[in-house]
Amino acid sequence: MSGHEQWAEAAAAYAIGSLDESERAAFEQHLSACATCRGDVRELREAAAMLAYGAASQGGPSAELRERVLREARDVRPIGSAQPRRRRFSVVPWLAAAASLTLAVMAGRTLRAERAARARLAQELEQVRTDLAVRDSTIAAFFGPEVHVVSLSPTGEKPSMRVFWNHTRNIFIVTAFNVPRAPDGKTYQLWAIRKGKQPLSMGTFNTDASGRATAILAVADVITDGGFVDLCGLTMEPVGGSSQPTETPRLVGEWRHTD
Amino acid sequence: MTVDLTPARPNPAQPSDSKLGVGGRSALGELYDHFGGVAYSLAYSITANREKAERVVTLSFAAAWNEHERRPGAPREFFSALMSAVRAKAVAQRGAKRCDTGARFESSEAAANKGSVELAVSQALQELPDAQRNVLALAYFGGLAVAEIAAELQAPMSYVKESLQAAMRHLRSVLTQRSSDMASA
Repeated sequence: MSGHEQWAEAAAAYAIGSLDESERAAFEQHLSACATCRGDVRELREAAAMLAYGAASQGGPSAELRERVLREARDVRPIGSAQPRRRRFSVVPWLAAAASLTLAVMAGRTLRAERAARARLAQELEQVRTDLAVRDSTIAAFFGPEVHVVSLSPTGEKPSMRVFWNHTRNIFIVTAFNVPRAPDGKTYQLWAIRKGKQPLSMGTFNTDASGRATAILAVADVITDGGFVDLCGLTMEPVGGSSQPTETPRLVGEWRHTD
Repeated sequence: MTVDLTPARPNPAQPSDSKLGVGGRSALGELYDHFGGVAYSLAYSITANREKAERVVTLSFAAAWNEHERRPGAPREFFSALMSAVRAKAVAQRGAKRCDTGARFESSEAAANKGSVELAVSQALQELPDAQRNVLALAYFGGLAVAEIAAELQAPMSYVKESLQAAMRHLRSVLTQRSSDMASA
C-alpha cells in the first residue's frame, strides 16, 4: 500500500481537526510530500469553515464584542516584517468567494488598500532614511583633517558661496546661496586656479529659483596631481561647461584649511 | 447578480477608530462585520456559554489577523483560518467533550430566514444520510477525535473516517455547484 492510499480517508478528519495528535503528526509528514493531499486538505478546510454557517442560531454577540476584537488584534500584532506570500487560489469556487461578490470586493479592496498604504509608508520611510544618510555623509564631508574650504564672494562683498574640498573622499561640496539661477542654456562652472597656470575645471552646477544650491563634484585627477591650488573662481558658461573660462570670474576666493 | 451576504445578525456597533486600518474603518473591522456573527454562532454552539463564546471569537480574530499580517492572503483564507481557530479554541474552552450535538445543525426552515449562504449550507447538510451528519456533528461541534467517535458509536475507526470523508466531499461538491449556480444566475 502506498503512502497516499494509506491516508486517502484521513483528509477530511484532518481538515476538521479530528485526528488525534500522533495521527495528525504522521499525516502532516505525508502532506509535506504529497501535493494531491495538500490540495485536498485546502479545499476540505474551506468546506469545513463553511460548516459554521450550519450552526443553529444562538443569538448574536454583544455590541461591545466588535471593539474588543479590534483592540485584541491590535495588541497582539506580530513583531517583525510581514513576508509577502504568493497568493494561493483554490480551484474550487467556494460559496463564500464565488457567491459572495459583495464580501470579496469589500474585504479584498480594503485589504489591498491597507497593504498599498503600508507599502507607501515603507517607501517614504526608506526615502527619509536615504535622505538622512546623504545628509549625514555630506555633513561628515565638511569636516576632517584633510578638508580645505574656500569662500567665494564678489570683491568687497559678503561671501555667497563656499566650496569644501575633502581630500580623503576626493570630492568638492558646493554650497551656494543668493546666487541667481543661470538662465536657460547657461550654467555655473568652478575653476581651480594656480598662480601662473591655466585654470582647471572643477565642474558645473546651477542654483534653484531661490538662488541656492548644494552639489557634490568629483575631483579630477588633473587637479589632485597638480599640487597646491591657490584660488577658486566661478564663471557662467554655456551648458556643458567650457574648457577654459569665457569670462572674468564673477566670484573668487582663496583656499584655506577648515580648522 | 450581487448576492446579499449581509450578516444574518448585523452588529449595530460601529467603532470610533479601529487603529488597525487606514481611515475610519479597518480591514479587520469589515471582516468582523462579515464573519463576526457566524464566528460567534459557532463558538456558542460548541461552548454553550456566551462569555466563553465571545472570548473565543476575540482570540480567534486576533490569531487569524496575526496570521494574515505575517502571510497575507485572500479573504476566504482568512475565513478558513478564523473558523479553524474558533472551533479549536471553543473546544478547548469548553473542556469536556460533548456528544449531544444532534441539535447543533440549523434546520433548513430556520436557515432560510437567515441568508442564502446559511440556507445553502443547511440544505447540503440535510441531504446527508443521518449517520454521516451525526458523525460530522460529533467531530465538528462535539470536538471528538476519530477514535472517540468510534468508541461513542461502537463502530470501527475506518467507518468514522469514511463517513467524514464522504460527508465533507458531498458538502464541498454541493456548495461548489450552488455557488456556480448563484454566480451565473
